[in-house]
Amino acid sequence: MASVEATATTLERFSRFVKERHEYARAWKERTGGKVVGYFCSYVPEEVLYSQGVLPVRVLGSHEPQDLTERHIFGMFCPYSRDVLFQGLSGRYEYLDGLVFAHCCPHIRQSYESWRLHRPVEFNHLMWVPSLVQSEHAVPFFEDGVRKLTSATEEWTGKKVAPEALAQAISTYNLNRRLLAQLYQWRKPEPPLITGAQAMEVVVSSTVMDKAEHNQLLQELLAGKPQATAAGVRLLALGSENDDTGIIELLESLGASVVIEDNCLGNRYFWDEVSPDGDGLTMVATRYLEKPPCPQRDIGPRVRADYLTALAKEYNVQGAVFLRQKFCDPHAYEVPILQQAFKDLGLPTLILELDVTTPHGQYRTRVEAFMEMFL
Amino acid sequence: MAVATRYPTRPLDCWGKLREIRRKYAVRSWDVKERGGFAVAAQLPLMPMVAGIGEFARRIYGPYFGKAMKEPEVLRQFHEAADAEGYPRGEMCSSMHHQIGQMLLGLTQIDPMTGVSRPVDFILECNFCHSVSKTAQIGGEIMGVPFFIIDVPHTSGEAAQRYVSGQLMDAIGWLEKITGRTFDDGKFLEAMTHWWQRGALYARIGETLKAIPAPLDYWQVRALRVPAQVGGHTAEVAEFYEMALDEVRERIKEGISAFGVETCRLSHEGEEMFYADKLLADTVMHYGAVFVTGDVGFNTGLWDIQEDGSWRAAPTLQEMGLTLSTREDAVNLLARSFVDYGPIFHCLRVDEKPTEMVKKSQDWHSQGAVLHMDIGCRGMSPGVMEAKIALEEAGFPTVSYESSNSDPRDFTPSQITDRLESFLERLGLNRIS
Repeated sequence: MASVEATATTLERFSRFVKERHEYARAWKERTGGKVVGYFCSYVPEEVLYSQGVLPVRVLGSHEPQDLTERHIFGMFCPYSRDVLFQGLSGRYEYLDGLVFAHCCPHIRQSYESWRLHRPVEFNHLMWVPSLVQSEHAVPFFEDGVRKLTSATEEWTGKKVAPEALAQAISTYNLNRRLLAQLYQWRKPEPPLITGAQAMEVVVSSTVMDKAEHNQLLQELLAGKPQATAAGVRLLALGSENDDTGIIELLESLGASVVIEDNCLGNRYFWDEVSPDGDGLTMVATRYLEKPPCPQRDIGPRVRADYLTALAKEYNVQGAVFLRQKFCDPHAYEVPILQQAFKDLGLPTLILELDVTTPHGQYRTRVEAFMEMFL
Repeated sequence: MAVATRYPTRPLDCWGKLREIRRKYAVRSWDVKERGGFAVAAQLPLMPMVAGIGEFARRIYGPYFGKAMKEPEVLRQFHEAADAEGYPRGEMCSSMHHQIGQMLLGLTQIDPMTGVSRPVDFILECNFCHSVSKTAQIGGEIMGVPFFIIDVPHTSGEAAQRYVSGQLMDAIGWLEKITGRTFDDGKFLEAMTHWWQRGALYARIGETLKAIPAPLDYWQVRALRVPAQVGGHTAEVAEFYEMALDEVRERIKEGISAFGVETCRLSHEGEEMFYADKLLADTVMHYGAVFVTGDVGFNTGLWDIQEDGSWRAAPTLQEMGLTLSTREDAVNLLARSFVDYGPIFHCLRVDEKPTEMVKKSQDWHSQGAVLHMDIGCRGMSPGVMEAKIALEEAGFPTVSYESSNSDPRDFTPSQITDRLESFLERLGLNRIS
């Protein structure tokens, strides 16, 4: 077993991969001669791209003030959509060969459309994701979209996807999900063996790295010797897309331990595996619609409240923090219902609205006041 | 400098019939239960399907919508009720926001004429934007009634149509289960036929605004949507649109204009401010300008949107050579009306919007576009900024204003008027009244 120090060093490597994601992707391209595709939503079936030797990387924001997007995207669209469009228009992702978008909300769709309009890439593909995931008709419809993505990518790369290659990609992605699930067990003890910010960096790095390489690193980490973190108030952080570790670090610097989250760059990214039985593409489509839904996909009889309260119990949380992108209305609609569900469990809640940059001073005061409730 | 050419004008004869239909259905929406029917909170495009269970009246979640739009203080109260519950102001659909407020205040169930409680029996909704479907979910929970949502993808193709058709078939089973009634295919087929007819005819009325002078302005066409909203699945309403279309075509033949003057033709894009729609029409009217296109009104029709972005009225069933004989026929046609012919289900096709807006401006001979940057709408605002660039590049001057379709707290009339007047002067217009 590796030492405590070696484990800490491995954790730092995940953090570095997130910070140096552009350098990583460029180096990967040079090393493998493969193509890199940027994608915007956790409903993009990455296995399809990976099976064809394409590296899917999630487009992340950089959280800096900018005005490049003002001409293209409405000011009341969510900060994340403006931030990712800024990445595209400013050329930060100039190495991308393609863009794939799974329709998750109108705001991000605008980012995708404006990006490809003003910074064209070699390959574009948009797929619709059903919202009524509980309907028996949803999987066949999404499967059709997965098959169209497969054909479009095959045409682009000139490579036919062999069933074995798809099975291998599924297996690699499933292993990644399993390893991340194992890592999340480190968050259950009191105090946790990994901080919320560290856990977030491990998951986010998975979205920008070759999964085979990420798996090796994860195995190394899991074989290591984790150190107990400082004890804090155990919190669930839930809400919109959040690629800003700064806000989690802020919470944890003020006496919180973020022991579980619910967002598309955290647990919802890797929860549930693709079944290895049956037709590969059908199983891929099924997994993506059966994973815990985002609010946009919870439009039938509500499921998210029960799922989140179960998650809160499983991770033994003491409170919940909503980290909601400003103007993100799918999340806005569920806040009152979820607040009540948490209240029924005796869990206090705090709502913080995320913008492109985090107002640390103001949020510090609000978080401090919230933390006093647990004294 | 534009010359203020004068044209003859007169009111539409069919306004009287429109008012009669509106009054009739307003009363029926509250006494429907006494007649053995159901009160349904349903989205407009699902009305022909609900007709399959027999007598029904459609209500929206906020029956005080009209009253609230005329009385901003009442509207504010509804918004504040939603704010107080934690639904954030300005961050979600403002139309749904005040309707959630009405539900929280218990008003959705109260007959405004008698004050008697007459609850909605169920909710049947379309996910044409997530605000609408989330509100249906919240509505079902607040009012304690069953709800069913049809998810409609904003994309074409056989798979999309199969997805919608499958859900519509499920909805029929659900309707039978919750009402305890046998679904009557004959009534559904008949309602679907009328529904299609009124949509195709309404779009033709929209097309008549291509004529110079325009026989009506956009706001008048938008007002004509009321019968479709209250009884678009009925023969009476389909006949009304035949009559209205005949009358408008007659106006073109006679050279009858909307207001007697037409110095400039304008497009409006983005959802309109329901509580202040007269502000725009009145402001431009002082300059003799006329709006000839717009979103909410045109979206009431069924349109066949071409690959080059042009909007053409959908063919009638006769023109399509289509006769509805089975439940499947009607379900598939309803699905097509969403996926292929319903512009409201087209609004998230952000990539197509700039081309469509330019083409619409060209085809309706517009000379400039007024764009609403609507804080209160997530469905129709995507694509508007890119359309602004495309319109300017195509030679159509534009002006934008920021407001909210249903929340007057985000409305600054003087600022909008100032911007609009500056724009009209930039177009070379002078006040003529």
